[in-house]
Amino acid sequence: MVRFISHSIMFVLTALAACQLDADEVSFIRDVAPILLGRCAGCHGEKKTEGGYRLNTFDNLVRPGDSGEQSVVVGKPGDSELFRRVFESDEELRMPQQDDPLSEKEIATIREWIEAGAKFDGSDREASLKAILPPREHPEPPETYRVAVPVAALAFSPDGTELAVGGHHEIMIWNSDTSQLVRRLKRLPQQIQKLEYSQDGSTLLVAGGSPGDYGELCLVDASSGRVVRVFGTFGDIVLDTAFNHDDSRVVAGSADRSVRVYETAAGRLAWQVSLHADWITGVDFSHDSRFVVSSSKDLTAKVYEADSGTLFTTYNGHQKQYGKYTGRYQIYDVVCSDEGPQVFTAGQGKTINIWEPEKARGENGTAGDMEQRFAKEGHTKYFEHGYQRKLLVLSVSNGMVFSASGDGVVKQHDVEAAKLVREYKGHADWVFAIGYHPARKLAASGSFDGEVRIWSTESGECLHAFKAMPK
Amino acid sequence: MNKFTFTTLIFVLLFGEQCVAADGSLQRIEVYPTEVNLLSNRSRAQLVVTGQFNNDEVRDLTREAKILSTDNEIASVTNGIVSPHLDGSATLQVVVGTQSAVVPVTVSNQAAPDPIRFKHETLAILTKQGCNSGSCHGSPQGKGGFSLSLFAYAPHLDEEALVRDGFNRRTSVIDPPASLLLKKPTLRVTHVGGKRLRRGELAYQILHDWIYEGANGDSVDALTCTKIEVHPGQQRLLHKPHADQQLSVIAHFSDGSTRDVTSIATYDTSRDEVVQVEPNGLVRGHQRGQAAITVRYLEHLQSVYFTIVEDVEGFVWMDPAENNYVDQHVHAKLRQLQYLPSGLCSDAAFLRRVHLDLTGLLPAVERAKTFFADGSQQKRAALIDELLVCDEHARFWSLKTADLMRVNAQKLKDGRAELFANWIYEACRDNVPVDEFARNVLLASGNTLEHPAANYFQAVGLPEDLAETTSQIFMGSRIGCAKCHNHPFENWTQNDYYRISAVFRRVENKDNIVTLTAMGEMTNPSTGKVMLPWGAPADQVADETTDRRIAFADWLTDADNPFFARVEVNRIWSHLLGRGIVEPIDDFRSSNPPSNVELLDTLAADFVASGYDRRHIIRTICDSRTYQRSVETNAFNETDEQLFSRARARLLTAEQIQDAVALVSGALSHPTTDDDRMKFATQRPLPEQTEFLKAFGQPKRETPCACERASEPTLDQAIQLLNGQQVFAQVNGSVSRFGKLDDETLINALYLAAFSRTPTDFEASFAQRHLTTSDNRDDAVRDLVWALVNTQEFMFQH
Repeated sequence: MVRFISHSIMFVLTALAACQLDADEVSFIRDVAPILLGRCAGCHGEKKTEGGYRLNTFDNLVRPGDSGEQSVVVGKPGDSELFRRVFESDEELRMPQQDDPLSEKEIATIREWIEAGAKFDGSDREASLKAILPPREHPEPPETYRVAVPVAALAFSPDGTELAVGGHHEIMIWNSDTSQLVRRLKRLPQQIQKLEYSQDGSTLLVAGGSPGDYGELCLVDASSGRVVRVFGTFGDIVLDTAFNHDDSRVVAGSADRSVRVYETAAGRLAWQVSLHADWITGVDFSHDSRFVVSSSKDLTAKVYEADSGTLFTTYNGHQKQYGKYTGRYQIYDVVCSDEGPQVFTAGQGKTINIWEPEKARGENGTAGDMEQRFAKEGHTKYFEHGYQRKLLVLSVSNGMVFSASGDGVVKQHDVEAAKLVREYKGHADWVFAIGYHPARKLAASGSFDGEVRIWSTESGECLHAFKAMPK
Repeated sequence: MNKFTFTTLIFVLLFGEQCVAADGSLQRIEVYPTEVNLLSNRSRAQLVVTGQFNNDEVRDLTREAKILSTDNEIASVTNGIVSPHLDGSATLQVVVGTQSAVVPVTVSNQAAPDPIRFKHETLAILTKQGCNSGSCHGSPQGKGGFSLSLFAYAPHLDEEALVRDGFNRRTSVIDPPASLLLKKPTLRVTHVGGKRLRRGELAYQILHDWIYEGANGDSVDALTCTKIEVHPGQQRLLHKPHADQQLSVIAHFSDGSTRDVTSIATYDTSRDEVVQVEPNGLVRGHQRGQAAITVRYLEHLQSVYFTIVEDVEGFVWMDPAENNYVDQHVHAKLRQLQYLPSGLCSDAAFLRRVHLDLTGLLPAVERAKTFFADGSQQKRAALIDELLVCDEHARFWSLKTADLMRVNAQKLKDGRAELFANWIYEACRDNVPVDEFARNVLLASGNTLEHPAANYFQAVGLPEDLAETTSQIFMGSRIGCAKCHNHPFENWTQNDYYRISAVFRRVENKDNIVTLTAMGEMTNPSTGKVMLPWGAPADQVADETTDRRIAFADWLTDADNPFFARVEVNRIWSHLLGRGIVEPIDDFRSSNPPSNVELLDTLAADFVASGYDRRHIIRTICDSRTYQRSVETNAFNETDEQLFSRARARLLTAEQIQDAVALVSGALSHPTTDDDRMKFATQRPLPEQTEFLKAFGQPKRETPCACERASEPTLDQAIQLLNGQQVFAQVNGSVSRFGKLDDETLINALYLAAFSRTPTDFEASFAQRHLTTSDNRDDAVRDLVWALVNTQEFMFQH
């Protein structure tokens, strides 16, 4: 019986293979690698090497595991262990172990690729497969949402008439005066973590991905939704991104610990560093584009020369044991002033810290005297924010700093006067996103429960409150 | 032996037919639960079918039974699990062979929604799959940036970690399969913790559905689980080859409702070579022995003690003689598990053993001679009585107590240690009832230079330390884990921990004077609630003048206290037999069962009835044949490690070995006065700390744990005995004791002193040859003494 079934599958597969011979040839990078990474790399990848076999690079993929069996024999799927193990009918032996088998289509793809010569169409046989994979094709978002999704990103268009809000595999553009859904920019990464309009309003810089799995930074046409450019893919979700002062460059920071700067027009990677020990939670350019700053769960913020990516200094003010605001705090966002050298960082702890890269460098000495130097120099300004939960997001513009936290409150501080201007209360859940449009005197905030609120910064009144979901 | 096998063979040949019949025929079957109420569309019920056989055997027949529902539209049964379909009632017919039973089923609320309950299902599943264990995400730092509370003790923190934390990283309500919480454990994304979940499994389904329904935490008025009920109860005896048992676990909730949680409870075994347990609660017995299966459902724990009986080929119970109830209970267990006890030890072995156990010292040569010459049947009992009232006994046993009370001179300065040690000695000498002793310690106060027992509060600090120390010493309970979270392996909760601490909250030690303050409450740091002191009635809190320790001491020393008497008799047993009935001796918990429940219970009851008379219990145990067994094994007890079918050879304690070397070498002779006694390490409740003693495991007395006294052999010990200064000096001096004796007398005296026996002919002639062929007789004598103290026979008690 089993044999019979195997035979019939063989037949079907052969037929399938025959049909597709005329079509485009199977590409390893485009067709095969995504299957292997999606279904096999959990056990045979970067972190785990079951059976002495891993397919994290193409070189490793064609190298036999502990069994010594040839993993790929060109032209002969039946002799290739890689194919035999996914095609296996005995569940004890079949890969992936203790899991659903690969689909017939997936198996056929692998067979065809081996039959056609098992060619490697990538650039570097020793590079991580994950890194050389093309950007993923994203599915259509659902026509309507069964439930609202957390709002992790929103941005006012430059003229303030539209509000872009991150959805599930899409961006929703809402009219900020009527709170009506204007259009949907679809087939984007699963979770959108950060949105920023270009100064001319024509494009949106989009950061997002699938947590723990995939990150993407792309530029999207704000009207048509066409993906103008994917700057790059990441090993984990991209949590923050920003344009520089003239939109010529973009910076992104990912949970894969990398900070990358790209040239906007050419899409070329200018530089990339991974100096933090944990997720990058925030990135920004200084007002004059001299510096790039990044914040991390590793309790530090770092400043780089924007041109080269050379580390300029590390800011340690969130893990200090001296002074009034002591403790060891993860930092969840960093933003730069749009008119001066000030940098704003916050996260766990009771304060928003305001500091300057040049002075922060002066405070850093050897590990032994750093605490004392920091205490002595101590030029950091602190805004005691008074949130009941951790602060999650910051936004700075026109001398105002907006912040929001897990307790659902949004606060506006005047930087110069160093005082609280206003509190915006109404969200019933954690607030992850804030937008501010000084000219139109509007602020917007988005929370975990999918609610978007548009506020008047003049009166503090909530002008609109709606669930950001297509109905 | 051949003859024996032959007899067995004949027996089998002649009575083969009856043997099959003796396998038992099924008398009746019982089904648990007796009725099934399925109150929601996700309710299930695990049935357990138990067969009673005419040979008194009880078997689990769940997998053999044919179970049919009278109406499969309403309720159906698959693999012993009842599933609901439509509201209504039906009856299940359960048939095994000629026996049958019926179970009524009621099904209701099938149309009503029944969302996944966060704590009771989601967190129970994360516990079951091992996610929140101490080595994974339950560790204080978490793993891979994802931190859960250990075994879900803090659901609100877990909700945050699972849903909103990490920029809502782990759950996607709109697209549940895209959630990292599901992708990681199914290895769709690399997971260092490996495969923990399979699509299609119940565990996956529960997590998936919880996310789909909104990934919500529990509302403030959510039900709480009040207890769990585990079938088949506290214990079960299974006969191989029918050694499997399906468990059923039913959770009771605060609104009076119940729910079968068999499939989402967590199971652990205490000895997996004896029994193992599958994730669905099916216990499989592998080999004869005893083990506890611990069932955990959130903070509720319950253990079922399994005894697996297996016929051992050629085993025939010989009805060995019994001296007292100790033997009765030990024999009952041996018979059940088919071990045969060893024979009694020789007089020589007994003499040495009982002297070391009761006095810490080797027997004197003269005492050995009179004992061997005594022809009385009662001479062993008489010797036990004699030793129990000698001063050496009181001294040696006060040393053991002083170890636990942390009597050390570093902590108790200016003579306090000596004062406290002497007070403990006097209590042993006067055989003060153990309950009274405990009360005297726990209720002590005053100047620690004048009130010896108050030094307990000097040696042990802070209310928390006092709570932990007192619990370990007097309750055999290690409650330390519960300081930060509910105890992972026991029913001790964080509240319990702070309630016991509250007992000592108002004890103050100012300038070495222990007093009680009128103020001070203990709060549970997790909840901020003020804790009622343990043992105190509710109305006592307002009364500021009462010593809260009194109510605690009353509770502790009450005849019905589940810990106090058992812990003490278990300590005594362990001192005498080399292993506790509960082992480790100060780790009583339901997941660490006694190897002989009846024995422990009977000893404890006798102890209470005797007025907490420690000497009475020592006498009872020493009088038993169990205590007097040989270390020699037989074919039917070689593998026994915990049922006391034979004596256990064990290394002398540090103090014993130091004194033994001194006695054998003649550096010291058996004491007759108090001054003499103080020269022996075993006779001082506060022995000095030396390199030699430390090498043999002398405790520093810094913790209340019996484990502080090391018992493992080490290289340092060998070095001390072979080359150490102390042994060298004493062996050197041995010439003055033995040098003048003639060869035969010398050799006899030496063997009697070291081993409490006369030498064999071979040993005697070998030793004699060494003495006569040596150029220097003094050196030859030293050689002999040195050789003897370096034998295992000397270093070990046997």
